[in-house]
Amino acid sequence: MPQSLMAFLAMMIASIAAYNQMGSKAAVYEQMVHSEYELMANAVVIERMEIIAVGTDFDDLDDLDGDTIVATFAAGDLNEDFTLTIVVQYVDDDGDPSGVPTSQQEVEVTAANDHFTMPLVVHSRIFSE
Amino acid sequence: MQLILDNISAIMIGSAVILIVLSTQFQAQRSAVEQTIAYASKQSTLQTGVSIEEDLAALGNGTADTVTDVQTNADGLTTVFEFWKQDAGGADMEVTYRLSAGNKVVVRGDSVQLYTLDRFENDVWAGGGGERVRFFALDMLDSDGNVTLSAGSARLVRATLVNVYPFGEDNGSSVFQSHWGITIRPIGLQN
Repeated sequence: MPQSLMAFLAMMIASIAAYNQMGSKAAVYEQMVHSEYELMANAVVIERMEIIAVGTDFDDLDDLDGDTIVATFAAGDLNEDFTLTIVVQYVDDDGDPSGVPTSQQEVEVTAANDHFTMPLVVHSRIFSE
Repeated sequence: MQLILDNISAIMIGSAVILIVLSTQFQAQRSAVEQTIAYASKQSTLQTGVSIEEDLAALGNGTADTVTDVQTNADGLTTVFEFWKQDAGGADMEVTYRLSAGNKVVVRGDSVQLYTLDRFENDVWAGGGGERVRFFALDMLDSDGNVTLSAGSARLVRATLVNVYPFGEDNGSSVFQSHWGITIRPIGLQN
């Protein structure tokens, strides 16, 4: 009987160690994948921000407020879609939101992906008149 | 023989425990190797990315010409991207990114083409090498974000890079891919 208990204990400890190892490995893989998606999201957000910077007049920036765009990170066979949400608001000289129009607007672009619950990347830039 | 038969249960359980421990140890070592490769891959990709970003930011700034040659292969990869910038001394310098096909590696039965990215200054090799690139593209974009082949209408340059680091052999092999991209608004392209 003591021998059986010891054997059972040894099996249990070995199984727990193996389970923990697998869990740790899965967490590492998850983090690696998340990191790659962040870099891809970063690329499409910067692209959108630059397109806004060269193609939109200051007076038309607020028209973009609330826009949702699907942007694709394309690299050969890989085509990963990201949903970009644009928020535009007037800010004062300190960068704080302003209730009245000022000479500065803050454009915030947020990237999300279907594989992740939380947004991956948020970029904001202040444009002056 | 009698001794073995008397303790057959203990021997079987002991063997099973040893196998589990060895397997766990092997998995831990493989995981550590993969993490190291992933880290090295990402570091390499980001360093290349920073170099490209700094290069493109100075594109056409103070020079007579901007982008003078762009060539793309059938798979959509940029094989030649030639542009002008000023060197540290203020002299005009022609910079060329040249992508050349290298070896193929087989990953779980699929053939993966690797490329080498080299950088030239006035046609003299100035960096790059290593068959680590799976995808590389430098696209010129107009003010609406559409790809354009004309430097005259280009306002932005989009860089996309995917580095690969295969590891393992045969059926157990896999490949770690490191993605990077950025869109630059070079001063030299602002009319």
